[in-house]
Amino acid sequence: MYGYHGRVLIVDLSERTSSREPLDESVLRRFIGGTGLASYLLYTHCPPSADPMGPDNPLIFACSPLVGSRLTTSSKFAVAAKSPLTGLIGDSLSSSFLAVELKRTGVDALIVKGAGARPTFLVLEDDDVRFEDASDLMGLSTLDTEKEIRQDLGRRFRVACIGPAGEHGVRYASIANDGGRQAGRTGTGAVMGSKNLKAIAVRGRNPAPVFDAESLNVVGRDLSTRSLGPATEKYRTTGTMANIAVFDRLGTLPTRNFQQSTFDMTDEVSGEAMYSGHFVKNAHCANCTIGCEKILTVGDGSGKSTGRMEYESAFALGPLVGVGDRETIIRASHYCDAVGMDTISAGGTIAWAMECFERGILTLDDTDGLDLRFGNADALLPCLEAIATKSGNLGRLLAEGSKIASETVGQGTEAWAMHVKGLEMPGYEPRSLQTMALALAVSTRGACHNRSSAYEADFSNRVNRMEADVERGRITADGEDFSAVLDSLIWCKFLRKAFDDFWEESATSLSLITGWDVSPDELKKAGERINNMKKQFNVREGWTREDDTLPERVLTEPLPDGAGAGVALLEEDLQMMVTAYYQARGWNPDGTIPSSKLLELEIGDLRISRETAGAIGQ
Amino acid sequence: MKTTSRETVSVTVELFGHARLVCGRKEFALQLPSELTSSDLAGALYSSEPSLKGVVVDESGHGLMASYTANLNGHSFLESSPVRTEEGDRIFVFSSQAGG
Repeated sequence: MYGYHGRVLIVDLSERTSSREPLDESVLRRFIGGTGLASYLLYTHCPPSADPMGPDNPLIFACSPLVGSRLTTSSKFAVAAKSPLTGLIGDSLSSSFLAVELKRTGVDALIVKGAGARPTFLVLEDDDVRFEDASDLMGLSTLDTEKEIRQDLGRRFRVACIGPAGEHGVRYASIANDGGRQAGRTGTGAVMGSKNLKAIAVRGRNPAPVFDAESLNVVGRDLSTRSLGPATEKYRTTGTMANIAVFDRLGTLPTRNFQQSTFDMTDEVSGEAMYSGHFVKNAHCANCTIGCEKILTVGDGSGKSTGRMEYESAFALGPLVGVGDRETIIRASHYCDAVGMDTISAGGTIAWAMECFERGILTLDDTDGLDLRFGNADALLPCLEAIATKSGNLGRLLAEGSKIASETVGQGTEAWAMHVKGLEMPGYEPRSLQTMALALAVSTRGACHNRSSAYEADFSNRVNRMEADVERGRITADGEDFSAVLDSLIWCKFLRKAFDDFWEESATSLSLITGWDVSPDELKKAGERINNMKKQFNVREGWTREDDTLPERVLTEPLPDGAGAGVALLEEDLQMMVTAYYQARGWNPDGTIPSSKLLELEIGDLRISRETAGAIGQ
Repeated sequence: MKTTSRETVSVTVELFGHARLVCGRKEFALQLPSELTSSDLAGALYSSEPSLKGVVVDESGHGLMASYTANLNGHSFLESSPVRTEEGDRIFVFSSQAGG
């Protein structure tokens, strides 16, 4: 077999055993790798209705066929588990050397089952699997955990780990690797923490062979050249944080818990200001020519903080919580990376709490004395610290995420909890980005900006982004299928515009790596198959059409300001688009998948009855 | 430079991202045709801000680089077909790479 090893490593932390099981070529060809393979393995290894924080929920790391090749941006991996935030499928991507080393251990995926009786870190070195005591690592930041392990085992080891947030079961904890990169969304770090698994250290010496390395190098050189052209200019210069000022002017910057779409302190927190005042250097993932990561620093001496900054973190810890102090936002983002916590969900949950505080629902007693008004920069870091350690009334409440926290507090605060299916909303205002609105509503992992590319249509003349129409159904479905293939091969999203013909070039690359005769149509079908499989997982766990919606605020309050002032997204308009999306997918009116579609996509074995479906949120 | 109308209006151009850093200015006023295309804008930017050549404006001086796009008042994007502009309009010039 070329491009893959055809094996999966299964580790049982409860039994402290491991085994390598064959991974059939037909599975690899149908689900490719990355998010596709991880989701398939989750479907097949997660019992229906499993508790997301229980030992039955498997934590899955999946490599891809491109990992280990020299193709630019290809050193990526996917993590999947049933999400503690949504009770539905959770998946997230991260990058760099960990992906390369994991695949070089001779497997295409790692499945972690059970839970350790005591804090554990796994060491995977080629065929060897060791269960090590992690007691001394508990409480360390993600960066210090990685540093300690690599000092002990050697720098050739790469580490995936959780920080204090994952240890304490913060439902939106992330998994960090390679110096602070994060598999950020859907709470996979909480799942890892529930298993008493602090870290995984990997080193391998067995790369998967490539079928036609010489031809692949020619393809790779050409793509690398294009990766340095206009298609990636933003990522190579100011980075994604440049979105702040643009989104403000377009009326798409969610501000003060989505009560506004522009921020009056944008000039202070813009990406341009952050870049001008704090930029240190660009950073690259392994095998990446783009170098999108912007390393920023603030302060000096013992108060110095240096780390990454992206748009989503800047938005969530800035405008969304009304904070206009640039240094605080940067420190808060670095802090989240250090404790292993999703910045989007952290900011979204704090924004909900701030609105509750301003409206008198949460008092100083509830916030442990923190003045939690919007814009109070002094409260942001203490609030994050309370969450990461689940300390005090406030920390315990907000560590649950906005959905559970609002259901706990009640009193109508659910209306201000800006999430979809339990996952907090990213930095795209749906009322003025109505293709994105549909994509956020129907995404299998909740409010997700990364699995549809739907904003591409909104930021063009292809649609009127301020209005809904039935065409968005097809646009969203096609964008999801494209993204599924992108995330399964895996190419970095920031490379997507560098392709002259994404489908043709991806099929060629996969053929050269595997020796298969892959066509663009086969890849398109794989994208559709992967999305249907993810949906089927959710149906099995109790999803219903009522879950494909948006927060009440979005559907009842017109935008008050900015380029979209007065624009509304009505419930009936959203449902019209949801119906159009189901039709584009060939699904039933209630959003379930007909057996004929599953058979057409060669996943007829995933058919389930409603009787076996679990309950959403479990 | 392709000009579709002799009538001109004063609009404010706002730069974002790398373009703002290169130019050293956040915004400036330009006289532009009232029936405006992206090519018209590129030509005007080329004349008024030479530092934007090779960043926002292509080597010919008549087109925007593929890495940039221009939006009128937060609504429509400028393309080859002319759109009506009015005195006081604002044009946002930013990366064509959406998302992040």
